[in-house]
Amino acid sequence: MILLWGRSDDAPLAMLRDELLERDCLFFHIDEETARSLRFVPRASPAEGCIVMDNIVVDLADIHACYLRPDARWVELADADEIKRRQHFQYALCAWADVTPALVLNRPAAMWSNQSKPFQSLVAREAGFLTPHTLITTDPQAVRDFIEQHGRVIYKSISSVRSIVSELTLDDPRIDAVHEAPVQLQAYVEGVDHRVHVVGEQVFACRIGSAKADYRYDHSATLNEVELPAPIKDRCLRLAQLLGLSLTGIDLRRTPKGEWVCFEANPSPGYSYYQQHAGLPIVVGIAQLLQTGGSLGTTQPNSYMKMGV
Amino acid sequence: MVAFIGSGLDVAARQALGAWPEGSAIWIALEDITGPGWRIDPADPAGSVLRAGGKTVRVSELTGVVMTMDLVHAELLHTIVPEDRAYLAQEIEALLTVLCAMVNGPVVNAPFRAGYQRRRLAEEWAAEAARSGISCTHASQEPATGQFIVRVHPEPAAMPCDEAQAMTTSLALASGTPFLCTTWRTGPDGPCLAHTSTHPFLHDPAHARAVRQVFTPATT
Repeated sequence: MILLWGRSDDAPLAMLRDELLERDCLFFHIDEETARSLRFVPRASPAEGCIVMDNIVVDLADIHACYLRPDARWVELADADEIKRRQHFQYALCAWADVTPALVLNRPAAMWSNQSKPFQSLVAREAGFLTPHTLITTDPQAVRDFIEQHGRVIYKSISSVRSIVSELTLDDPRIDAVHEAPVQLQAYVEGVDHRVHVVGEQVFACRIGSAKADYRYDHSATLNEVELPAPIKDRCLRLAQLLGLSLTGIDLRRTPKGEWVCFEANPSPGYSYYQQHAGLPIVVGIAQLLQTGGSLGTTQPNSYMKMGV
Repeated sequence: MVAFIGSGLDVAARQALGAWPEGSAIWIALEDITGPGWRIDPADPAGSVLRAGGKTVRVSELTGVVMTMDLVHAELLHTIVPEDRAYLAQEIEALLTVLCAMVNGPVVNAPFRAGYQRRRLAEEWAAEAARSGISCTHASQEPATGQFIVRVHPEPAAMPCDEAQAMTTSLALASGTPFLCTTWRTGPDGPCLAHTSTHPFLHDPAHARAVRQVFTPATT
């Protein structure tokens, strides 16, 4: 049986749920929004246990694959005891997801790399990708020097906190304020954005046409399916493997010189947007992977854990 | 040079540096990270500099890191306006994560690990125990808190000290935390891993000594 964990109105989860229904797959869906009660009942080892949702009991031994996009909206619940119970349910199920032999998209421990974008870029370099020249600084003069060196510079959050990628220019009055807190700058990379979804051993890629620095905020962006060169495909698979992610959305940009620059790998990608706009059968790949299990569904630590960190 | 990173409010941790030979350790307070002079290029440790206690240090000069806090609590950023603290805490943690990855030496313990361990409930450690080959079970759940108690199998009548040490070592290796302090409880149902801490309390001579041991090859 397949376990789905997330909200019904979350587009990627809803799309996967429909695909599994279409395929007549047996799945159990935990929707924290609609569940009246959720309990994790431990058993003989951390890899075992039962989920009790309302009146339904599911033995986790029957789960051979799962897809996780949990939501923490329950923190808005009024009942403090229920919040505590939900927290413990989430902790316990995440711990189970980290050690179960089932295929997990993705193991919670593997998702952590996304919390530090520059750290993830080090892993991308390990996978063979070029990454943008990056400066994290609290020095206004270093900011000015960096802008003068590269001409066009963008700034964005260091952590996974979502930020709108924007250009920074020498006349920006905020430059003098960087001495109060670190800011991450990157040399602007000219080129065409590509989004690559790695699903197990499958790679789905699309090219994005946008005039904005951050296409996610461009409603007129165009997305078209493309076939990646084999070495780039291999690097994407390698990056997913290093990060321990069986499912990931990798942001690449192809420069006019034909170089491929990696920006980040999203461990919980909103793939539905790319499926809808580029016609990529990503959900089919995910459903197939969940149905059959995959080579990354092991209990081994992520490769990047061995990078001396 | 080993970098000790912590809150400027943590006097005990700062004083612990006094036991280190002159020039072998540097104290980096959170206040330093929210002050001028940092220039970090993740791909270039030799070209990256940080500024702490009025000194400028190249990242390539660092031979290790000791994090004296589990994670960057927003409340510790007392020099920052309250509405910006939560965001900045995450940003600093992300910066410290990459800084630790850039240092060519041991890290006690990386925010990367601490981040994962911020949910340091017993079931998290049970998962780590399973990874390290320690057989254990979630045998009970505290009714009041819902927390699980990790029980170790097989259940000898008493937990020999060397066995506890061996299991702690396994856990430390599995979790990637060079510093790990565990407390084991014995009771009628056998030994339990009752408490874990990845946070070295440097005012405790045993903790300080353990941290020194991690860096012995680098400092002698």
